[in-house]
Amino acid sequence: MSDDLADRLQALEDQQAIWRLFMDYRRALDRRDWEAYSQLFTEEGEWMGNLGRAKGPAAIKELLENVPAGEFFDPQQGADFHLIANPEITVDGDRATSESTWCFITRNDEKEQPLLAMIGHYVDVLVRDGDRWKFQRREAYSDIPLTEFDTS
Amino acid sequence: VTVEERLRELEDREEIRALHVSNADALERKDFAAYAELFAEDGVLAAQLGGATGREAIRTLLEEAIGTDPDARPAAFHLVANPQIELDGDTARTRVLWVYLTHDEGGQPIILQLGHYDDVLTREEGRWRFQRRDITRDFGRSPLT
Repeated sequence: MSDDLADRLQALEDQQAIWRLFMDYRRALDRRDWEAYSQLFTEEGEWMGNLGRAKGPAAIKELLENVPAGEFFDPQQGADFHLIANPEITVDGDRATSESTWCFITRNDEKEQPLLAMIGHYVDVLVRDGDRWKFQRREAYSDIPLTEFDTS
Repeated sequence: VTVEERLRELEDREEIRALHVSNADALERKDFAAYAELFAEDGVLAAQLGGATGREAIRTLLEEAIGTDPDARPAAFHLVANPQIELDGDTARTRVLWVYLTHDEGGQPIILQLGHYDDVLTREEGRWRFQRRDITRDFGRSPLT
């Protein structure tokens, strides 16, 4: 197989592997499985967003475990969903960057009706880690309602 | 892993994603003949509105429960998202989020209900089809009740 063909195949596989990383992230988040969630980040991997910021799997896990009840999401699993859409993934060798949209759908207790509670976007730096991809950096922005945080 | 196998995996994932979109599209058009064609010959549908085995039974179940008028009001559509696909040769398992969008009396978009599909897929005559689909509503309410 020519190098050109090998590269094209690898690029498609990498894009799909990164999308699967986003699905693993979403699943761990909605299940409140912070151990699985934190393992999707490299040792130096950083998360930042409404809940604060943390670096490395252990610190990320601790940050998520200590979200006050009722703030942003119900600590009880299964009460809400993240919907991930519009992935734009650019792979460059063992690194990649991406932006994607997230929607946060919660339960309106009075009516039992689903409610689109927040919409935002992720800005990611990803790296190849052995035979899979991990987050080197994930910035989780909320656009509706708009919230801001320091990304320096 | 050969190039052939790597390509096959990419093609399988793409075809399965397209199957989920075709399914939502058939549902939106209330074309339950097309919907049933996406199932294996002895495919099983287990939904809240009932269960059926085989294409003809699936078609009948849905036509009787939902009707066949694509212009029935209120307008509604299914958004499918977050596909998780596990391949195992000629079998696959998928979980997909579904969101039922419609509008309220004032015309504002609302999410009436949402849930997930758990599917077992099989490659039949060279195409991926639903061997079994379990539909779960996680919250919200059905438009039929």
